[in-house]
Amino acid sequence: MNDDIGNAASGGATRGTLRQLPVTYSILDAQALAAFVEKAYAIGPPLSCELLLPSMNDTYLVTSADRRYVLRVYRASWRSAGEIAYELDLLTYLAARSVRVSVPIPALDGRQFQSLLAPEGTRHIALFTHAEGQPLSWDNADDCRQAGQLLAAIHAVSDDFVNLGTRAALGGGQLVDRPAAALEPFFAHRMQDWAYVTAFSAKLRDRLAELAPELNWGVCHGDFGGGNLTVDDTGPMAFDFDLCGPSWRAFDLAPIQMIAVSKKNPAIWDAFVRGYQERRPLAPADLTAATLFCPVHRLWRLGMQAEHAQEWGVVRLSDSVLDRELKAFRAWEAENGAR
Amino acid sequence: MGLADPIPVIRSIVSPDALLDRVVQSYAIAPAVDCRLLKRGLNDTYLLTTQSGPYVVRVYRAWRSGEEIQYELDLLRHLSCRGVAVSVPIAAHGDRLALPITAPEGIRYLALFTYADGSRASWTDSENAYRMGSAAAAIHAASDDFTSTSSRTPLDLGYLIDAPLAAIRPFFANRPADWAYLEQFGGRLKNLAMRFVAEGLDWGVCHGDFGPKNIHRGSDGRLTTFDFDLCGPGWRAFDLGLMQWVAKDHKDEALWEAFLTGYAEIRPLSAADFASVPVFHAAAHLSSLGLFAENIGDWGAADMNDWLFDRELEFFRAWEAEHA
Repeated sequence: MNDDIGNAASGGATRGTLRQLPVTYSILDAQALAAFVEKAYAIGPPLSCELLLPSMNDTYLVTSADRRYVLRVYRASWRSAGEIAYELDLLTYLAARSVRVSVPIPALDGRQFQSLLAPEGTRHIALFTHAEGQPLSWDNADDCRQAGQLLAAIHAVSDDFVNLGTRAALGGGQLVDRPAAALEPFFAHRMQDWAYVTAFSAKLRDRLAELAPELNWGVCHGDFGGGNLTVDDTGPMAFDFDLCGPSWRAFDLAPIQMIAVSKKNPAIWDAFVRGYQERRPLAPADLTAATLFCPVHRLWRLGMQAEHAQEWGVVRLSDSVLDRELKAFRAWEAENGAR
Repeated sequence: MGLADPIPVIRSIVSPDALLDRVVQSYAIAPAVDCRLLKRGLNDTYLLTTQSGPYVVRVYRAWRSGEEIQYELDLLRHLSCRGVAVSVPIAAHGDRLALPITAPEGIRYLALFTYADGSRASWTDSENAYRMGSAAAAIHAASDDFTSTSSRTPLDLGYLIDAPLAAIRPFFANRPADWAYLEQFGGRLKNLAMRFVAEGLDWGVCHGDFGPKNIHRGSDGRLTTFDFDLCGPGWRAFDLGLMQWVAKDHKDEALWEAFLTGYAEIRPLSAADFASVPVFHAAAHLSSLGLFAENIGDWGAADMNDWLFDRELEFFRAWEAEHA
């Protein structure tokens, strides 16, 4: 038996056995990426490259003799070239108007992103300036206020942003229907809970339809506050606009309200809103709607986990995770009325 | 390099559909209806659902050698024959326990296992803790006469202390004082361990990653142990040290006592073995840090951060204050 195993690698098995199996996702070799960046971009060499975080996209830290950069390797079949162009154009547009964001660095061929052939298909890569400083801690009132100013600046400046690249509007279909559909198989053994999720998402949809006509619509970051802010002496900086797109601006406020709720510290929300309003007015309807977007944001994130389960593993949607999320939905309903 | 040249990869996730096809071709099992990725870890674990029930498919990482895998699978068969409740490998056509597959990063092996009945055993009731003690003892007792033509790297002080320290070192480049402490602590831990070894510690097959995360509890309360990927010859007190980590995290001495009672009823534990458990508990922390350090190319360096280092250093210092 031992021989069977031992010999297979050295050619003991038939050709058929050794046909390469298709893969859904791969981790690219960091050294090979460094070599590619050295050739394709006007930075370094020599460069070192290290995987920081494999997630929705894979994030690498690239270091030259005097500077740090972030290299993002987009997942195959996650973002189209048009969607990426929209994100990168937006960042360039914002930075040109003095909004503090991490910006894409064009390659030597002038393009904002490059494309690599990975086993699972084409993967696009983009190189960004590194957001220096410490992760923004919501425990500091001044940081909260400045984060509010920064999001307001992103919203204000992007009002004039026009782009040919395609980004699906993050409306009710994308934010509620799509995640609910993706989650259905994970509730196959929890019929009662699934009935609850269906009814709850229908309520969210109805309420959204009711409020939508009054709400401000425009470019949103999509994940503002989700660990995508750093702060140094000169103030906060935002990065990772991978989830950006046109949506209700109140949707972008929701993650901060969720942070304030989970930390049981309403002062975070108050300071954030005050900062936001110092830079850009916020209508009472938008402010009120932020609460509705808290469970919407949660559902949206959960749906993304479901859509990527075959790359990440279904343990990310285990019963304990689903229990936690259902508890949060029910707590929100109890707090905010079941309208 | 252009689009035409594929970029090298260090790790891939095999498509669950392709895996299902391969398993159906290679094993005499009931028709399979679904295959999904359960989790990505040291290896990739898939849940295969068939008309006659669930199985687990493991796709080993490219660096795990055929010989190491054979040792693990031989051990599981041996334990199962002796009546120990473990998830067992199923032989493919041709009686092979592991099948090679070609992945972009190289040859990997897949193995099909019986599904450990039930769901994760919780470390919150003394009945479970008692049964976990019995399970560890049963594995140790039944493996005393295990022999395999394959071998495994021993879980010795090189594996538990020296190799992890070497892997961790680069991450402490900007914390020289902490590194000096950690290196000296490793030396002191080795001395303590060697003193126990000189007294005579029980040595034999260990699970190597024993704990509730690798144990399922069925509806009848019976436990089944799985994931022996980190097994090897070692000091049995190391398996207990891994469990003490869980017990200390939960701060419930009664559960730890129940675990030890469950163990001792199946198999005696010498005074030296018992007294050495905290040393292996500390060594488990070190080897776990080393495992993270060795896998950042795949898991990312973001988790190897000051928060983790502060927490672990605090543990080591508190441990020394209590035991030195």
